[in-house]
Amino acid sequence: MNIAEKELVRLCKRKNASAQKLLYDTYHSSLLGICMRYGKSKDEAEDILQSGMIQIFKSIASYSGKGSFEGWMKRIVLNTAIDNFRKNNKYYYHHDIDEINGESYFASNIPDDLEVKDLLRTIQQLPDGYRMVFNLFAIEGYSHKEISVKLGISENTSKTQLLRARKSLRKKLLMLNKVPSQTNITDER
Amino acid sequence: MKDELNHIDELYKSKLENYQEVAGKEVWKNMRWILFWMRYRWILGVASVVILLGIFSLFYIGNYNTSENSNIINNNTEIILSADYQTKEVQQPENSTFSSSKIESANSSLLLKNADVKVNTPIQSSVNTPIEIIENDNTDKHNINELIINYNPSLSEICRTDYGYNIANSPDSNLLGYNRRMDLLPLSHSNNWVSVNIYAGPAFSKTDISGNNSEYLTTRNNNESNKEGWSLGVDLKFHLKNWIISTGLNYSIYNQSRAYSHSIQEYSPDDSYYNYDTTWIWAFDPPDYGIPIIVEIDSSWVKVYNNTTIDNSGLNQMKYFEIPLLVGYSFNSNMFSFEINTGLSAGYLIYSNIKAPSFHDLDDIVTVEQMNNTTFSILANVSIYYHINSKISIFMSPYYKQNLVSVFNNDYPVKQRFKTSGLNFGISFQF
Repeated sequence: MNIAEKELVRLCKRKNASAQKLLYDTYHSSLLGICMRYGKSKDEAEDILQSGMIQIFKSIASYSGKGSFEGWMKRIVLNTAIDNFRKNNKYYYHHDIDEINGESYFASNIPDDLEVKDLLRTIQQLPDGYRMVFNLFAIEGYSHKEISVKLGISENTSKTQLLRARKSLRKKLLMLNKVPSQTNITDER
Repeated sequence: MKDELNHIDELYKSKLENYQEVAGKEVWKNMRWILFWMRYRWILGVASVVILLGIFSLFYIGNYNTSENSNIINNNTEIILSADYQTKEVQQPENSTFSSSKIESANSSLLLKNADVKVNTPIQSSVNTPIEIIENDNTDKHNINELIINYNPSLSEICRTDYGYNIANSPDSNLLGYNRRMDLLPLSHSNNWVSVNIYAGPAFSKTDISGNNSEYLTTRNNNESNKEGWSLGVDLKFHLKNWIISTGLNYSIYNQSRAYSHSIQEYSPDDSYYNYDTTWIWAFDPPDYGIPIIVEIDSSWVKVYNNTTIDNSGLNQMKYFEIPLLVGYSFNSNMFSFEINTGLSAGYLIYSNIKAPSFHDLDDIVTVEQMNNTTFSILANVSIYYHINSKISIFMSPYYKQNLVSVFNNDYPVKQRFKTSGLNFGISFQF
């Protein structure tokens, strides 16, 4: 943590309004980038960001200064997103791994030149549970065991959601004509 | 297969892990108020009053120009309307297929947007020529833009010269744009975070008297009746999305009619008199018949008492400065907003004139001095706003207020509370 960041944190701990604004201006875009993956829309993402930032300002006094400050804020925003999910999905349907059929994903040859906005849209269109598990597993790097604890679901459910999320994402990418269809792949082979 | 799955994961991770997006301005706007609340919640009451007084004084200075743009729009509307009723004789250019004609009702022409028109004009006719709208017909059609440019130069000139709008360049879009009420969208409070309401209105208070002396209470209830009062004040409202926290300063007058009168007999020296009791004897001295001779006169002073009515009828009155603290929720539509507010109100007594029977003698009407200088009330209201423009609204607000504590202090053996219903009318300024 550099000196400017230390000073910013110190002033925020003293509830200095200008420092709070500066902290928001500096970090909100990267934090909203996380929220965009967890919300269904920008509006929902902004709600998560707002709750997360308020939580950051509330608990900044407990920040010890060890480790990355931005990482600490990202963890708070991530936890806010998870809380938001758990609050809004009390009766969230748990799938069992056995329900998944063994479809092939044919995900090879997915081009890397996809637009970020398209990818974001495909994630936002996923059902809430799929989106949460996919984000936590594929992007945040959590294990299924950790996800099961965080979301209050079984490991099997986490795995199921992940598989379905991937399947759904691939379908959506196909619809965007970004991924070669199964037939094309077969023909090429 | 596993590699294929991982490819999707890696694709998303690489693209979205460090994705950034700028949030809308309203996020910080909302957060600003939440942080403000977190920082100053314990002194919010005091701070609100200070802010209120500051804004209130600004109103009196009159520095607020509420809607400059709407004035410009109104000016322009006037011009266009004045042009509506002009009948302009225009001369047909020689190379045109039209002769001279009159274009009546410029406004109707302008409102046609880009519709094509056919002008059926007899040659050298001086009568008004109707404009016929023919859609998708290429026969004798001229664009209305051309008509205005070519045949109504004065209208273009007026607008260009006096108001700086070059209607001739793009007459349809310009005129329709300026005619449009730009201030219709969005008018509700949802985009403003502070508003100030100034209001006044009648109130009707019902008195609830309680105590141990039933005879006393009956006397008071029989001789005291409700009477309308009124209130006026200023509210300061903080808007957080649809939630509202409001405070303010309210001047309330509570009235109550009293009709105490009783008759007493009052000694009147002027009307009193002596009552004489005279003893006479008749002395007979024949041949006379007799001569009356007073032998004794007994007199007594007769006191006369007149009936006098002592009338203690009049008005019991209390005046309070009240500071409400309310929480509310608003439902916004385009032109109207509805608010529901509820909360507490603290009142400070600034004037009282209460006359009531003495506890020792019900005919003795005395002034009650044992007043409670502070009082607390619960308060609820429903407000209906009509938005004149984005800055100013008028509203109507029926409300109900009930004292939680007696208006008399503990030294007075009777408790009295007001249950007040009222209707305020006012104007609201949004910032």
